[in-house]
Amino acid sequence: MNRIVFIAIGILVSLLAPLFLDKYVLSILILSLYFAFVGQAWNLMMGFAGQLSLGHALYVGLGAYLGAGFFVQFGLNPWLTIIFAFCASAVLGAFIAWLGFRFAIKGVHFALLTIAFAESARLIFDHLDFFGGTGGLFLPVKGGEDWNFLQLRGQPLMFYYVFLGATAALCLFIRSLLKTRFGYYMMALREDQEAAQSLGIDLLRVKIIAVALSGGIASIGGLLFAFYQNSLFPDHTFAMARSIEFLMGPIVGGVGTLVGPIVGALLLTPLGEAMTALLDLVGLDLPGTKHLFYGLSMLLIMLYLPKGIWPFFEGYITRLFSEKKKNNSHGDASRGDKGKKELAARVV
Amino acid sequence: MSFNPVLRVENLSKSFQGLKAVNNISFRMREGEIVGLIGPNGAGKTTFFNLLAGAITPDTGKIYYFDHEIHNLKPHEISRLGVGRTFQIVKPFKGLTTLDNVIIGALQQHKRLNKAQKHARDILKMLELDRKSHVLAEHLTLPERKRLEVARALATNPKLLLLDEVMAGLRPNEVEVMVDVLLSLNKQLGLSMVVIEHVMRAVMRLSNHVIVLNHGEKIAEGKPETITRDPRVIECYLGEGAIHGCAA
Repeated sequence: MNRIVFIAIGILVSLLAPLFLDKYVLSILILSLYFAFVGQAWNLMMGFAGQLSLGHALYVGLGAYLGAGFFVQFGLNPWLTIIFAFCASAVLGAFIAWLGFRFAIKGVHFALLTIAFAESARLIFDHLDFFGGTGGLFLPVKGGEDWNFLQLRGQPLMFYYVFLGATAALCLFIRSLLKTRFGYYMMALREDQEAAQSLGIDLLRVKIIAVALSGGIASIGGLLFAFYQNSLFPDHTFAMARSIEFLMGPIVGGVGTLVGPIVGALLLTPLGEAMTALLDLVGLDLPGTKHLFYGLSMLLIMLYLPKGIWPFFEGYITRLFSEKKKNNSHGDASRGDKGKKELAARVV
Repeated sequence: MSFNPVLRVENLSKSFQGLKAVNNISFRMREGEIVGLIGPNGAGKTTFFNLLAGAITPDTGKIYYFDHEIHNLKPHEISRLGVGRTFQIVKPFKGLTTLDNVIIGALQQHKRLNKAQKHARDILKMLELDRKSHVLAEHLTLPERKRLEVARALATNPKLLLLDEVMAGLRPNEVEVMVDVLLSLNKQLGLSMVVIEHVMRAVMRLSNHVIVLNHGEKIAEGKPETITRDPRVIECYLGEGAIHGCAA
C-alpha cells in the first residue's frame, strides 16, 4: 500500500511541479529527462544485453536529423518520421551488430566500431546540404504557437510532458520486455555467451535485435529533442563527447538496472548545469568544467559504488518500507523524503 | 532400449597446432545408453565433447545425431536438436538467480515464461536446488554450481546429455545423490548420456559402456567391469596401484 501511495505522489509531483517552476529549471528538467530516455536506451544494449556502445550519438543524431530535415524540407509530420527514423536507426544498428559478429569484433573493439560509425556520420552530415551541412539545420519557430502537439511545435512545458511520457513509456516497455523470452536471452548473452549458446540461444539474433532496438529507441529521443532544441549541428550532434554524456547517467545510476539510468540522469544533469551556472554567477569562464565534473563523478562512482547509486540505495529503500509497515510512528522525516525522491525517480 | 543409434561418430579428428587432440575416433551409442568417457588428463575428452556439442568443428570425420549430420552445425542448433551439455569449468549466469538460470534453459521448449518457470521449478526440486531458487548464482557453492549446470542443461529437455565432470569436487554422499538422479532420468525418460568422469565409483555405477581415451586415441572400450581389468587401461590411466582401489 505504502508503495502505491508513494508512486501516486511521485506521479502527481512530476505532473504538477513544472507548472510552478521557472523557465530555467524547467529547461534543466527537460534536459535531464532527455538524457534519462537516451541513457535508458543505451542501458538496454549495455546493461541487459552486455554490448558496449560508445557511439550512441550516431542513432540519436540520425533520428534528430531525419526528423528535422524532413520537417524543414518537406514539412513532414514528426510523428510520421519518428517511425521512419526508428526503422532507419534500427537497421543501421543491426548492420553494425552483424559486422561485429561477422568479423568477430568483441567487447571494447566492438565499442570502437560504434565510435567509428558515429564519427563517420559526423563527417557525412557535415557535407549533406539537404540537412544544412556544417552551417546547421534550423527548425522554424513561429511565435504564438502554444501547444501544437501534432506538429511537435510549442512551449518547453509541452516538451516536458512529451519527455516525461516517453521516458515513462520506455521504462514500462523495457520492464515488460525483461519478462519475455527475449529479455531472458539478452541477459544470458550478457552473462555468458558459451553457456547461452549451449542452451540453444542464437547469439547473433539476440545481439542484432538488442542493438537495433537500442538504436531505434535512441533515435526517437534524438528526434524529440531536435524539435525542442530547434537547431542541429553535426559537430555537436554526433560528437564523441555526446556519446559519453549519454552513458554517464546509466553508469552513475546503475548499469543493468531499470531505475539506475533515470536516477543517474536526474542527478548528474542538474548538478552539471548548476555547476556551470554557479561559475557564470561568480564570473568565471571555464569551458569544460561540466566534463571535468562528469569525469570526477565517474571516478568517484567507480571507486566507491562500482555498481552505481541505485543498487546501493535499493536495499536501503526496501528496508525503509518494511520498517514503515511495522512501525509507522517511528518514521524519520529525512529518511522519508529521500525515499520519496528515489521513488519519484522510479516513476519518472 | 531400442537399437536406434542416438550418436554415431566416424573417424573424428581435431588438431591444435599440430597436436592431435582427438585422433580418428569412431563409436556409436544406442538410445537410452549411458557411456562413460575416461582417460588421463589431456587425453582429449573435453575436446571430444566440444566437437560433439559444436563448440569446435572437426578437421575430419563425421558426427550423426539420430539422422542429423551435426558436425557442421552451430552449438545452439545442436542444442535445439536435443543435445544438452554442461561445462567442466562451470559457466553459471552469475548475475542471475538460480531459478532464472534454469528458466533460460527451459525457455527453449516453452515460449511462455510462466510455463518455463514451472518447468524450471520442477527441475530445481529434482536436483535439490529449490531452496536456492532466489539466490544469485555467484553466491552458490561449487557443488551447487555443478548441479546448476546439470539443471540448466536438463531444462532444455534433451534426448542426449553430455556431462563434463559434474561430480568433481562433490562429497561422496553428494556423488551418490547425483548418480541416483541421473539414473532415474535415464530410466524414466530414456535419456542417453555421455559422461566424462574421474570419480570412478560414479563411472562404474552409471555407465553401460566405457570408452577410454589416451593421447587423443580410443585405446579401449567395453563394459565397465572388463575395462578396469584391461591391462592397457591400467597401464596408461589407472596406474598399477589403482587396481585395488577400483575393485573395492
